[in-house]
This record gives sequence, structure tokens and C-alpha cells, in this order.
Amino acid sequence: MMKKNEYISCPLCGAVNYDSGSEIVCRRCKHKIYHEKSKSYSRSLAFLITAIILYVPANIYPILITNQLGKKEENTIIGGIVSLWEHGSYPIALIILIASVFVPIVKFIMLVYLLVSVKINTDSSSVDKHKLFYITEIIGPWSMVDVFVVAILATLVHYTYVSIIPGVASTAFALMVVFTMLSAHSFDTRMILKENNDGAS
Amino acid sequence: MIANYFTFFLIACTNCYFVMIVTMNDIPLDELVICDECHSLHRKIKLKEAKTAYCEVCDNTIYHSHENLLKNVTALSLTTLIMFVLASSFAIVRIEMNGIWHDLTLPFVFVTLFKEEFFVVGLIVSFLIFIIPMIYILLYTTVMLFFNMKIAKEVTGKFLIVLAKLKPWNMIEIFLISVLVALVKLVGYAQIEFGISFWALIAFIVFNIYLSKKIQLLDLWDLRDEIYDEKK
Repeated sequence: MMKKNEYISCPLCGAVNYDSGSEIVCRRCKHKIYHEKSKSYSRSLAFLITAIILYVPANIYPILITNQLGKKEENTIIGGIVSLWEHGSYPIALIILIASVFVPIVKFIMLVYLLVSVKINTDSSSVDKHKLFYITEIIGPWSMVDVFVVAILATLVHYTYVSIIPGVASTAFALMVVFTMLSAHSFDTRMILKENNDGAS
Repeated sequence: MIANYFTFFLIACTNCYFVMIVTMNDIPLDELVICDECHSLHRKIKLKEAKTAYCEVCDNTIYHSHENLLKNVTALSLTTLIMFVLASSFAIVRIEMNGIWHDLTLPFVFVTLFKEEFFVVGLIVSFLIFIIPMIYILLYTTVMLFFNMKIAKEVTGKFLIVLAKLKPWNMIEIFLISVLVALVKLVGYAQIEFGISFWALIAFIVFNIYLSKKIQLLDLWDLRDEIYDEKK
């Protein structure tokens, strides 16, 4: 099982390469596989912190402003979910709840855990950690649903007496999703392998 | 002798094969494959047509065998490109309030957001749902056409790298879900009608998912090696 660490797959073309521990150029696509590990760690951490900070205004400020006959109605993410639930559209309320509340929080927790487990030895196996990382990458984009919905509503509803305008939170939320995705992408999966092997030996 | 170097065996289920973890090195790198999900190392096995190889550790799909990969993917990518043109040229949904119709077209989402002075959201959204899917499918088709003509080896390599980088940012299927959510929110306030592009968009998304999930970029790289080595 120790031999596992010597191979690495290129994230761009999937070709298997020997892992020398430092910067490698993929034998097939001739593209640099990873940058320095320390850089990758701090970059991932920095993006994650930015995303967490952006998550605060994304929840405090209104994401959707409805302008009806001069009467302004502001909706935050949570407020929107609550009003959808009260109107009886439960599936939509659930989709929004999962996509814009659960997914970002779960992603934050997973990334924080992965970054912490690089520095501090945790008991989980490297296979589990790789799976965790894989899940973080898969679920990430789905939190964009709310921003897209706001964008679509704003495009469709701009009449003289009723219009929908995106709120400040939509900017913060969109940036938050982008930064969490950047954080996940800059996380070097070799850090998982290294820690696990150190712990095993 | 070979048996000493690696242990691999097949568990033949009705429709699937598991690839066994490799225990020794000294195997040519081209015969190895690493699982995306759990990063365990496997030795590739030759699959019968239209079968799938699964990871021994986590049951994740590692690769498929394809019949006529080159011809099928070329045809599919051209179809997808046509569907994309259709999906972005007409209205996806139309709504009516007091006799005035408003359309939602893919390129116009960001025009409206720019008018409302939401530049950041406008930029991000237009990139994720229009510009990146467009570049993705254009490059994909170009690569497949070059493969067919057996020209421009270096260029296809560069394009495939760009494709791999763009892949996670292609959010067109999430956009479709968002359209449905937005429509549910509008039910009762306005009259809703699906435009021509709605169906084209669905077709585009189905083909796009097939092209980016079922056909892995790994397959295209293997195909590329195959094609340009034959030429020599």
C-alpha cells in the first residue's frame, strides 16, 4: 500500500505519472500538475476564508427586491424560503433550502476539516478524505441555483408597475460560490496522501 | 512472471467489471489508471464493448469502453453545437402581464443585469451559463473535427487542457433547474409560455452531460494518442 503514494493522476488529462514530491510536468499533456504544496495550502485557506466572510452579507442583506406599485418588498435568502414554504410550494422551498443554505455550510465544514486534517493527524482514512473532497467538488456549483433564479426573475419581470431587482446579497452569494469553488480547486489532493502515510508509518 | 508483478482479477457481474488494485510498480504507466473519487491505483483491463469498469474500493465508475468513439462523439458534439445555437437564439420562456410579453433568452440575462447595474452578478452569471458553455462546446467540436482530419496535434492538446479547466465551471444544467424554480415562483402572477429554445436547451443539456460525464476527457486523450500515433 505504500507504493500508492508514488503515482499521481494528472487532474487535467487523467494520465498516471510518477510522483516525485515536487513540481511535476505531466508526461502526456505537458502541463504542470501541481504547484508547491505550501502555496496550495495557503491559497486554498485564503479562498475559503474569503468565501466564509462573503457568506455573512449574503445572508444579512436582501437577495431579491420586489417593486410593486412603488411598494418595495425585500427578501433575504431565509425569508424567501420561509415565504415559499408558507405559500405551499414545499419542493421549491426544499430545493432552495438545500442549494443555498445546506450546500455552502456543508462545503465550508468539509473544506475546513480537510485543511485541518492536513496539519493535525485525524483518524479518518485517506480513501474517506478523498471521497469527501470529491463530494465537495461535485456539490459546489449547485448553490448557484438561487443566484440564477434571481437573475432569471430580474430578466423576466421588469414592468413599469412591478419589477424584480437583484439585491446586494446576490453579488455576495455569487462571489461566495466562486470562491468556495476556487478554494476546492486549489486544494492539493497530495496533502491527503502524505498525511495518511506519515500517520501509518 | 507477470503474476508476481501484480495481482488483478475480474469479478464479472452481469454488466460490470471491477478493476483490482495494483500492488507492485514496474507496469507501464499507460496501463494504469487512478480513480477520481478515492485516488486508488488500478491496472487497466480491456473491456468488451459498451461495458464499464468500476473502482474496487469505492464503486465509482472509472472508465467506459466505447464503440466507434471518434465517429459518435464527432456527431454528438456537432448536434450539441446546433442545439446550443438554437437554445441561445430564441426565447426560453415567455411571460405575459397585462398584455405585455417578456422573453428570457440566454444572452439577454446579462444585458438586463447590466442595465440594473449589477455588473458582478451579471458577469458571473453570463460566464457560467452562456460564455463558458459556448467556448466549451466550440472547442469540443473543433477538437473532434481535428481528430477526424488527423491534423494539429499540438492544438488539440492545448484545447483539451482548456476543456479540462473549463469543465467544473459549466453550469448550464443548474441553470435549467433555476428556470423551473423561477417559473414556479411566477405561477399565479403571470401567464407563462415555453419558447422554442426551452426544448433545445433541454436537448443541449442532455447531450452536454453525455459529452462531459459519460465521455471522459481521459477517453479523448487516449483517442488522441491513438490517432496521432497511427499517422507516424
